[in-house]
Amino acid sequence: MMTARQKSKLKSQRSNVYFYYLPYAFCLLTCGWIGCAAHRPVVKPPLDPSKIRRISVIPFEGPGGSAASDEFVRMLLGTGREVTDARHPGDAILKGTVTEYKSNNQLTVFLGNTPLMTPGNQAAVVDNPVVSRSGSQLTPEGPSQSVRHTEVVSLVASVGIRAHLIDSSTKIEVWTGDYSYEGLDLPTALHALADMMTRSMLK
Amino acid sequence: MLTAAKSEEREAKSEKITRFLVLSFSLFAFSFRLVCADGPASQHFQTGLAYERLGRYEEAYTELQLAFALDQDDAPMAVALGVVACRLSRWDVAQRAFERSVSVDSGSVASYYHLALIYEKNNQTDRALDAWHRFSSLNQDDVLKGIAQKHIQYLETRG
Repeated sequence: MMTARQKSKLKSQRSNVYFYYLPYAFCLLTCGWIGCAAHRPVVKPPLDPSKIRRISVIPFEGPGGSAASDEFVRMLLGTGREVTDARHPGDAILKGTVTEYKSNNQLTVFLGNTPLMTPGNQAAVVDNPVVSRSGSQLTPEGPSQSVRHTEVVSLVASVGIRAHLIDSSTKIEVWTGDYSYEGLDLPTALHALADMMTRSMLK
Repeated sequence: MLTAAKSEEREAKSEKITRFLVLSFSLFAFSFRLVCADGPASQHFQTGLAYERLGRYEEAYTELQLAFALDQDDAPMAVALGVVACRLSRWDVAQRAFERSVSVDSGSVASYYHLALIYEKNNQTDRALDAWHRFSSLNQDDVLKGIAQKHIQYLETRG
């Protein structure tokens, strides 16, 4: 049988346990909870380009950069989006580089029926063939080396752009594209290219 | 004696006249052949090409227009005019010349290539697509084949 004194001592020991250890336990639990909360990954749904309402367009780098960014602004306005500059960031930021801006890509047009030799040494007779000067390995072949082929030089414009669409809040790239397009002149090529890239970006 | 001498003289005269006539006819025939083989249209065409090689596109354009006006059934002439007209941004003339060239020669590869680009510029998507498809079926150049495929893909997306 426990005496009244022993009971009192035991009670005092229990209260000491509560007094000393409970705050530690509380602290541990709190720290654990905070720790878990801090390390929990922030899952933000990726930005859906089709739901972007406001895009800030940063002037493009490279030759023809300002013309390219102007064309993109026109295209984006045409889709009903709001367009801002870099100082007023929207849902996303569009930036890019003009990688090619040439108005004088030369093509050779051979006049009349022209025998051509393909890279695989296959001969083919083509009516008024057009041959690219850069990269093409097609060569006209005559019955003798003295045959002079009548030719004229045609010029075609080409524009190339590499662009990125970045989520303003997370800075995550949501779309990237590297395209090129050809046209009779630079405005035509640029217009078609910006249209093509805007469609790809916002689909 | 006298009559014999006179008749000899007459014979000599008639021989001279005959020779003159034969020579004149030969010269006329030669000139006629030259004109037929290398007519005014061809001469303007060659002059136009010479100007084109020198980079004198306005003069080349004038000469090629004269050649095309004189002979509208020559596909290479029409193609040359179309190319020079494109260089001078005279798109309507270029379109007419290339369209004429494909009506004369349905296998004119360069004409389809340029027509496709002209139709694209004019937002005539269906005609551009048709021209790109025709170009692809005739073209032998790998670089241009890739370009044609890219344009076809874009135009089909644009609708």
